Amino acid sequence: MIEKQERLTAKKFWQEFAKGIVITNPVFVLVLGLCPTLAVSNSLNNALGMSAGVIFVLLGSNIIISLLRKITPNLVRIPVFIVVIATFVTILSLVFEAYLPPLYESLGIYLPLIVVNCIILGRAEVFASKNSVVLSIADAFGVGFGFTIALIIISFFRELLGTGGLEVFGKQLFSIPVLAESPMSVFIMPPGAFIVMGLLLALFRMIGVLKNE
Amino acid sequence: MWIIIAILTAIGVICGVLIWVTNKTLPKEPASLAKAQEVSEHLPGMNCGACGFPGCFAYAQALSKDKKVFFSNVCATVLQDNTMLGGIEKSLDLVVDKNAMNKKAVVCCSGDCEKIGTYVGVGTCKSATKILKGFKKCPFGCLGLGDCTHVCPQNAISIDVDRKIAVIDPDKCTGCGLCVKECPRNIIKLIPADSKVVFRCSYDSIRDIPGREKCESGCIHCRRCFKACENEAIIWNKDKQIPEFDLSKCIDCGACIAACPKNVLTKLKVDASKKEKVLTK
Repeated sequence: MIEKQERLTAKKFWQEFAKGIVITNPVFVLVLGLCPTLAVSNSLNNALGMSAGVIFVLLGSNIIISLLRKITPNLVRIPVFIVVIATFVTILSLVFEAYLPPLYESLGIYLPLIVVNCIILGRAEVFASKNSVVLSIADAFGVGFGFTIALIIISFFRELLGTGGLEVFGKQLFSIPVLAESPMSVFIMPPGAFIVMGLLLALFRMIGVLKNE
Repeated sequence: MWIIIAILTAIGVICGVLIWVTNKTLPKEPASLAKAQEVSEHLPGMNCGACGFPGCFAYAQALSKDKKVFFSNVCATVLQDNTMLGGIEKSLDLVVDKNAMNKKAVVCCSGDCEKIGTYVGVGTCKSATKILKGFKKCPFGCLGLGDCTHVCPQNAISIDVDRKIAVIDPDKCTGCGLCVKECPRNIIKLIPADSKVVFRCSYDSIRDIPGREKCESGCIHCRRCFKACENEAIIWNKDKQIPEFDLSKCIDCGACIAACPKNVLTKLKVDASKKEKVLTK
């Protein structure tokens, strides 16, 4: 009996995990959390830093909110969510400031803005406040990785076209000879974010429509 | 009701404790920041950005890491002020040769250039330069629309209404170089502050453009200043066909200024009579 229940949980764990990445991808399917997506996807470095931050906050807030779900009065659940999320964001920005000052500076205002990121608040409201801790962890990782993948795809195209090369953690991965000399700098500026985001959304929507047929 | 408040307060307190614990376990403020704090007390604090850093504190941080930054990105305001310079020298353990580093910005144009048409567009030099390389005949002439007057932190630049060019007051100029970066025609240059003579023309004879012949008041490359100098303080640059000055030999005799037929050579300090015509914008 106990074994069966465990297996069920494991199966459900992976289901929830996969769901967050593909079926309910926060950026490409739910179109949530666009502010950090558009603002910090100008380089792969920033995208990775932002994703790590969002995964940390999502995981922390999902665990705590799921633990507190039975004692949280329904009337004040949103303030409780905000308090918990803000705590983790504060911890995150303290850690970033202490150990990764360049990343902290380049993320700027978008780091404290994770507090009002609708992905995190959305997961707290929709999932963590109604499900067990283990499933909430799965959901946090799934949605977090979904966000990471989306951010990596967008920033990959933006940095490649906008600077003519890719750079991760201060290391130049490669650069395209002609493009590096005269890069299409519009792609690392705000309009480029909308262009890349729009094209990718259209692409994923097209794939979805074709699949359904 | 009271239970709800108690629960929310309890969660808030727990979260606060969590942040406090994290803050305590993180490393303390590094020593370099304390040093930067000390250095920044001797900086002007205007945050003008002329040194190339985003503000005085960023400059202080860079200085505390590597004091050679003071020579590569010098703060002109500190150079002018002996108390600030002394403070910097003391806290950074530097020796600064003030006279060698002191610079003044000069507008290398004498004005009175013929126009090729009437410009009615946006009143900045940047916009005017984009259309046919400016409305003046000489592509290296000062347009006098005053982009440089707006960036000067010392208010040293004004527009001469008679000649319609920008004029820099050498007494107010600290040589920070902000106007040099701002000028779209690159005709503002930094020269050593102890220069006696200024060559006020930027016309580049190598890049002759048909129909854009050099202006009436520009250098005609006659070499008279070169010949008039008895101390060999003027060196003739054969590539550019312009005079260059060797400050160590110049005795401020004024022979070259008198010899120049186009009045392109002037003293660094404009005469008092000319100054009266200058209107501050």
